[in-house]
Amino acid sequence: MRLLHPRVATVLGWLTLVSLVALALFGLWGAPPDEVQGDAQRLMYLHVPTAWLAYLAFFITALASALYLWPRTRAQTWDRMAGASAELGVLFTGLTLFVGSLWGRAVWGVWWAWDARLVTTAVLFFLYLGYLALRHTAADPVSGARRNAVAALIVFIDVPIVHFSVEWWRTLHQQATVFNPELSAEIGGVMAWTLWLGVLAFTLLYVYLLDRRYQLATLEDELDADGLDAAIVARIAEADGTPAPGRSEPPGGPMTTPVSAP
Amino acid sequence: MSVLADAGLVAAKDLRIEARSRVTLAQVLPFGIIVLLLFAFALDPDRGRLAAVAPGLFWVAVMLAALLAIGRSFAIEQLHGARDGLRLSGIDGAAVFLGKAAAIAAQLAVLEVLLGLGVAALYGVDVTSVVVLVAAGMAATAGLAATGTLFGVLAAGLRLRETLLPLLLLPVITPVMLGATRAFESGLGGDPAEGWPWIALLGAFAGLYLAVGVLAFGSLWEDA
Amino acid sequence: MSDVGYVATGWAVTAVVIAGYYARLVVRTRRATKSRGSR
Repeated sequence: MRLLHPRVATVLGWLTLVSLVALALFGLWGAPPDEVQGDAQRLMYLHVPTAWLAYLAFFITALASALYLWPRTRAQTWDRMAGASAELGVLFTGLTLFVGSLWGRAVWGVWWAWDARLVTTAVLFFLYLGYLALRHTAADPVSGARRNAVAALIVFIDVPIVHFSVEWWRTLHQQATVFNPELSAEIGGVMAWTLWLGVLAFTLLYVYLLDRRYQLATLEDELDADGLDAAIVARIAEADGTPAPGRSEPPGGPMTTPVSAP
Repeated sequence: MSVLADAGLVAAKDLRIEARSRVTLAQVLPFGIIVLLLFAFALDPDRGRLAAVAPGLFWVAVMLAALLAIGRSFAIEQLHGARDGLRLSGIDGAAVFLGKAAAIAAQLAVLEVLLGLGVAALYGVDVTSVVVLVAAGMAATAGLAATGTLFGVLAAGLRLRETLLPLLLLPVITPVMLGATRAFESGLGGDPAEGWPWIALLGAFAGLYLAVGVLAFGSLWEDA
Repeated sequence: MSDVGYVATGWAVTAVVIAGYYARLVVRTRRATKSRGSR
């Protein structure tokens, strides 16, 4: 039903909120502006954590998918976790691209740059958007889960290939693609602490949201199963000519397998 | 029967259907040529840009055409109980994968040769190394066919197949797009030696996804 | 837009998006729990 014990989740939720607020305080005010980039550098305290989450989330999706496919560990849990994590991944990848674009505009005057990391992140976004679209198509739980898991792994192993080929491509063009502000200048003192706070806060956020999203997925799956049972009962009753037991049609969720009338 | 022999059977079946229906030749190929024309309209031939971007445009046209060819490859299985017939035949999933991928690759190869002639004629390119072009073409086509067959079966039979397949496939094959275009640039008026590393990348990509397909296609095929 | 503008936009949008996503989760969970509860 849930990945975390409810009380643990509640505590985690509050911890997440507190650390995010602390991050905002330090990131926007407590930490000093950068020597070179000025206040624009404050976007780094968002961009690095969201980028970290984007890749973490997709790694978890791949891991969960592998665990589903491995016969000894096969369980519907992994499929739900893979889906929940991918949704978070798409969310944070989108935010990474957005904040990164703002940051690039502020510091280098461009909304976009064709360097390996940015392009790979953009491709990552679409890879997992496709995966989510596949998840939303109707299928029975078992074959659908297997299909999702294979798709996740196909997509996951592509990511390093994409990164490598784009990096190679860009170095060949000898552009000034040294766009690594977060890694270049030494960030000491308060700035470094704030960055680590950001990574921690967002990681807590990820775990908390993953648990909530997983819970929702479980509930909706059970609703669908109940809805299917009810619909079958109703159809049988119709066929027998007896009135169906008093149950209204359940709301359809995104994973409802359509049961059409004859 | 061995996997390869079975794959040959499946490929022959698909190609025979194509020979009789001629969908690739009569519909997909014209589509590819129209795409080339559209690019010319968009990029204005008189400004001399076309020759420089010809490799990229060629591969974009091939990829769009590949989407149609892959969709077609699985659409034919939906008719007349063909899918069930193929499953009941006892042919191993890996053989079905290799056979379908081979048929798609063959059709793509024909498309590429013809579109390539179209590009040469319409955009005006000069060829430095045929070997590089052929090697790159083969490696890229193998990668396209392998991933296309994999995603084709994932999307097969779904109502949203037409919109889902491009969304699934195109991001995955960006390395093929990169590698094939760079290799073609080196073979069309560039230094051919620069193309070989890219061809190696294309080959590795194809090998990887052929392996994935051989392993995974079977179970996906059962459920499709 | 000044530097402050970019920073403010980035932080504001991030906060709104995350809060919005969380709110949507809460609403959908509540709806699903209610539907299940009636069975």
